[in-house]
Amino acid sequence: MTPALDIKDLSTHIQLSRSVVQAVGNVDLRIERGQTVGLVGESGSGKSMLGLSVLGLLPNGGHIVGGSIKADGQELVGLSERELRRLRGNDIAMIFQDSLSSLNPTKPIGEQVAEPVRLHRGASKREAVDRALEVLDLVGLPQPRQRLKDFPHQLSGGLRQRVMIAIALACEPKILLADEPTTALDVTIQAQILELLDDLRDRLGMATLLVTHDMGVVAGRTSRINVMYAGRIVETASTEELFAGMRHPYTQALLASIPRLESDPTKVLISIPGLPPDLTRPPAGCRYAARCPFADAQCRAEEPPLTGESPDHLFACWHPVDGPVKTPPPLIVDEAAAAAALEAKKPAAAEHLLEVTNVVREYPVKAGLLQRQVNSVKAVSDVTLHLDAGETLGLVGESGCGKTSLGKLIVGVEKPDSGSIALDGREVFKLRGSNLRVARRDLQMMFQDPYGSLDPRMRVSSILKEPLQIQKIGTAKEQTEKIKATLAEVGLPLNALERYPHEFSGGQRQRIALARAVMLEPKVMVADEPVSALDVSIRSQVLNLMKRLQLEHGMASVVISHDLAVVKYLSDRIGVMYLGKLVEIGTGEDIYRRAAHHYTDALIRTIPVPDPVIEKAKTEAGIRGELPSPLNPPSGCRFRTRCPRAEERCAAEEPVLRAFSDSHRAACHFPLQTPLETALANSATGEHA
Amino acid sequence: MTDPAAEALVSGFAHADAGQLAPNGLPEGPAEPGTPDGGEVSVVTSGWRLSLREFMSNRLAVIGVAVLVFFILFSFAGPIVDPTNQSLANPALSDNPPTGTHIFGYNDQGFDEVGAMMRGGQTSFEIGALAAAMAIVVGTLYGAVSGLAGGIVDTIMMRIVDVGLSLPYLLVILVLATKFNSNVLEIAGILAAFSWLVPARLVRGEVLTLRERDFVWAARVMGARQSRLVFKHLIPNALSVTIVNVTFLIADSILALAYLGFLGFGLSYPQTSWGDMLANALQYLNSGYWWLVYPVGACLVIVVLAFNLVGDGLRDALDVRLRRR
Repeated sequence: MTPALDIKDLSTHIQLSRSVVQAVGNVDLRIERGQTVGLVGESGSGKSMLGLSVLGLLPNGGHIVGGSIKADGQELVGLSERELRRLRGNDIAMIFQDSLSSLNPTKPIGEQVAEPVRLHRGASKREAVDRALEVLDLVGLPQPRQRLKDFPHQLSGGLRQRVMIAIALACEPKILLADEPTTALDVTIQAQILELLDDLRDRLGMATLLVTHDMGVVAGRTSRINVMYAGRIVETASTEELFAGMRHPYTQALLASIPRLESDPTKVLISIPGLPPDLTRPPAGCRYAARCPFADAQCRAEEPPLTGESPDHLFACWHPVDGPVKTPPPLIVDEAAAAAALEAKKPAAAEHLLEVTNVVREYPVKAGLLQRQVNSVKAVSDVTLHLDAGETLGLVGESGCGKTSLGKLIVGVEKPDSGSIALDGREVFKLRGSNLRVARRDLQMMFQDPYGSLDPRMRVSSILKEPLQIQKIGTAKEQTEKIKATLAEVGLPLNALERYPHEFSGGQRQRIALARAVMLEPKVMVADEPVSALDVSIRSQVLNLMKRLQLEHGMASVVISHDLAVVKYLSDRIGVMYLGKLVEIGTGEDIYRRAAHHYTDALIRTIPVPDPVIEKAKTEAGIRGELPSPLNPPSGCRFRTRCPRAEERCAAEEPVLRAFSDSHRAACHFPLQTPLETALANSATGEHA
Repeated sequence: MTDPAAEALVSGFAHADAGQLAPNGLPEGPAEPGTPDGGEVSVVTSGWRLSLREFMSNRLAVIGVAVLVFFILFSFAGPIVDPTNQSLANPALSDNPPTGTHIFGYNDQGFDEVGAMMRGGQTSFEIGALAAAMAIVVGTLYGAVSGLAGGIVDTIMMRIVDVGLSLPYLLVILVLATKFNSNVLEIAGILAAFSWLVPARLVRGEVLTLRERDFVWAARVMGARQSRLVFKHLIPNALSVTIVNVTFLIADSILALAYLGFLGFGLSYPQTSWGDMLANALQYLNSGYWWLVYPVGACLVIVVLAFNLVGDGLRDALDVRLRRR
């Protein structure tokens, strides 16, 4: 039987004004009918270009320079635009990453789903609408008939992605290309969409290419995985084999660099040094050689062919490894310096370094001619927590749960509507003038986007000197000494000082941002999604560095992330937020092994684990439905609308945080663990009897 | 002005050099000894150089620059190279037609027309540049402050701009022009009094997006004052907007000066502008004295067009979204 998609020796180049990017080089890839094949790689590895080559939708200057693409036996390379157009959306469909920019904002969704049917099938308007209803129902859009006239902005991200899938499926394609279909979505929605894709493949027998950077996503959903690096396929194997017995050092390092929930936070994450090569001038030998610990002269001179002992498992490496990394080495920290730094930052007046008490922050929503306040976004609702010197607290939750707002409240750039935030007994947001300026030294922040957090018009030396200048610390000479020392500490060369931010890679910029944040020796640093904008192979470098700096400077940190594994790796304690509420707080082990709140439990079960055995054994998709609007959060327990155990009491009465152990508290009427008071009462009655 | 705590903070680090730092904790050392674990920094073409390259590939904009260079040389170096009588009226030469050495003839005062065009060009460039400079400084500051302040302050400041923009520009300038004695500085001031409104609006729009960027938040977290935000972060980052706008402002000011001169409210004698010359020539239009009208008119059109071409080129070159890769 001919495979649904058969790519042989495909090379795609992109012509820029002065150079040529060799985006895809000599790629072979096969997908059988009804099979899902994963294509994994970092950004810039050419994985999206491969998908676009199949559709003939390459960007300006892009063209296929060699090889063949056969869809169901039909050659696609060299087809005219007209013939390609007939295939696109009919036999081959694509799902894009960003559903907001991929849907037409001026057309109702029903019309957009019906469009390919009318174009390709020549269906009448009524037939096309009927078909649209059918596919929208198939992709699980609730009440499709009422939503046909809805515009894309009226739907949530998850529902929009379902509409995108419906458009792709409208003509029953034989091949579906899904380019990062869930990257922009929250984990709970991601699981639902992936399950939908799985289910549709089984029912419709499509061949699916799942393009992603996330090893967890491909682990549970594919039967084969192709790992792409710098435009080449470097390893291809069945999913189970790739995870259990990979042979390419890149695959090995990529997998080891991902923090996992069960990984030991005292060990370092394996990281891949350096950056992917520039594809306008690819290196002569193995493209991974510059970053590979096993590379020798042969690797640098000669490109390894894609071979292997069995045709099922191919890899391109002269010195293949054997399976995953066994034990990662421990984190090395200067213990004496760390202890001294911690001692210096102990609170003098208060019991805890930072105390957040009943904090509320609501953003008004105004409407009408007089801009009267009609409602408010309940960003942070009655949150109480504390932070000790040198401790790291992680905050996790879906987007819109108020974790970033809480971070801004903690560093004092936003003021709470009520409640108090005290650093060492002083409420920073109530200070004024120079008192406020001096107090700001103790509270620093690190931002998510390494491209946006550094002023593009300032040199690195000015960027790093700015905090010292603002705070008027030291003479010009001392300031220069200090920025040089800190730059070395974050692992950047001295010549970086004279450069502008755009000359650095994302990981390097995040190092600069980290250096700036520690420049003032803050007592508390808030890191808002510190690694989510970075590539997988760079993430672990920054995580290792953050962990070491936190310890050596004795800094207390608040790490905000949607990724529970990242938070657990960096933090001593974890707070879980849902719709502005802190629903559970405890040590990493409390949260991971003994979750009491149903939301935490579902979150842990939903996170895709880069392990096909665990992923494929999962039977349920975790949390159903979407996050309710923070404008009108549900009464009582805010999670009740999505909770499997919700009862009438949950709607009527708001649960309070109850203790489950000294360190562990959760707000649930029907917790998964026994609360401390109940346990005590039980043992007391037990004694009576 | 340092406090003791701050000094202690610095001295703890002043002596730490790179060699004494803790090991980096990476499992495998960096690929080569001495390589920092953040990796080397590769030299990338700077943003300004990319912009220059983009600008140079825009043929019309380069022609615009060449035209401007020519006219600036013509106006300022021309009188030195080719001195002509521009102060003593000579009725014998009044309105004489072009000759081989005086290619555009003489005007009604008997002055050489080319020499007069040079003098008119001087005032055009001087007033255009001066008015644009004043307008851009005021407009940028006003827009940046308004955008950063936000809320009611922003509303009031922007409504003032709206009022300014709805005034009948030319009429007010004419009224103002009668009250002053019409030298270069004052005319430039009058023109600037109106032309700062547009850059103020543009810069405010830019600042509205800039102030929510993370690097501005980072500066706030460090305790930066508003003035530091404006001068160190907001204005430098709004620079591409202002640079583009300056060229358009100069073109507009030169045109406005021509209107003023044409209506007789321009510079006072002996200074002259292209507008004055056109107004003078008007009465001889029916006498067929073409050399008094077309050369000056062409100068005006070409210079204004050149400024607009340069402005368009700059906008394409500086706006990353419009830049070709």
